Amino acid sequence: MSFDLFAMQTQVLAQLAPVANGIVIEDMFGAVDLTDNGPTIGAQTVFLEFSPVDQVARSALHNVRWSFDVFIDSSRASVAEKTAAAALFSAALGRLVGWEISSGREVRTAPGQESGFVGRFLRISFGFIVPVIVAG
Amino acid sequence: MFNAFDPAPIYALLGAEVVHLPLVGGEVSGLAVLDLPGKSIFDDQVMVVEPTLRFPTGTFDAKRGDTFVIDSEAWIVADLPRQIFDGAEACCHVVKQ
Repeated sequence: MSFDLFAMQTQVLAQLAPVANGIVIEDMFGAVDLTDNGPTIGAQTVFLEFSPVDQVARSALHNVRWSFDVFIDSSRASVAEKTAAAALFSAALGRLVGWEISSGREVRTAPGQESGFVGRFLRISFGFIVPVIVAG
Repeated sequence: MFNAFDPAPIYALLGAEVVHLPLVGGEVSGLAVLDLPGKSIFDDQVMVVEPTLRFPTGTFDAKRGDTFVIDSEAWIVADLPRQIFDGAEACCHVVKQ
């Protein structure tokens, strides 16, 4: 089995699309636009690491760790928008945890990126791992 | 010894006419500088603009929550204005209403 990072990203974004509810979810190549005339909330999924777990003969199990991040402009976002951001965070978690991305490979949670404020901007993040078997 | 700094020539050159509407007290007009710097944060994940207003403290006594009207748009003072140099000027973050 080979590993295609970008195909996996496409699968992840497709899995998240039903819960986006109008909020733009950027891929790892994009940047979330929270400039003053833009939206007040946004999201992004980012590849974090590819790490080996185990190997038997020429088959190696790896963890592909991603983060799902929601960003909020706390000064401009309305209460309804902040609620929508929190709802997206929870819904995305629900869409990804236990999701069988392919037969026998289920997504599980992991550390994401650091959550916190930069000025008035908040990032809330969780991580998730997609197991991948690579055959040499 | 040092002479007191007079920022008036700077504001005459770079400033825009603004109206300060404090939460308490009457409105004041004068010159201030609105800066709209774009930058990226969170390891370049997010593009933002953090507008700041720089003003002479001899003209404006701004507090958090006050409003400045600039080109017919209202901007709210988002944090406590901080003094610049000898206190003849101050700077604060503002958010478009």
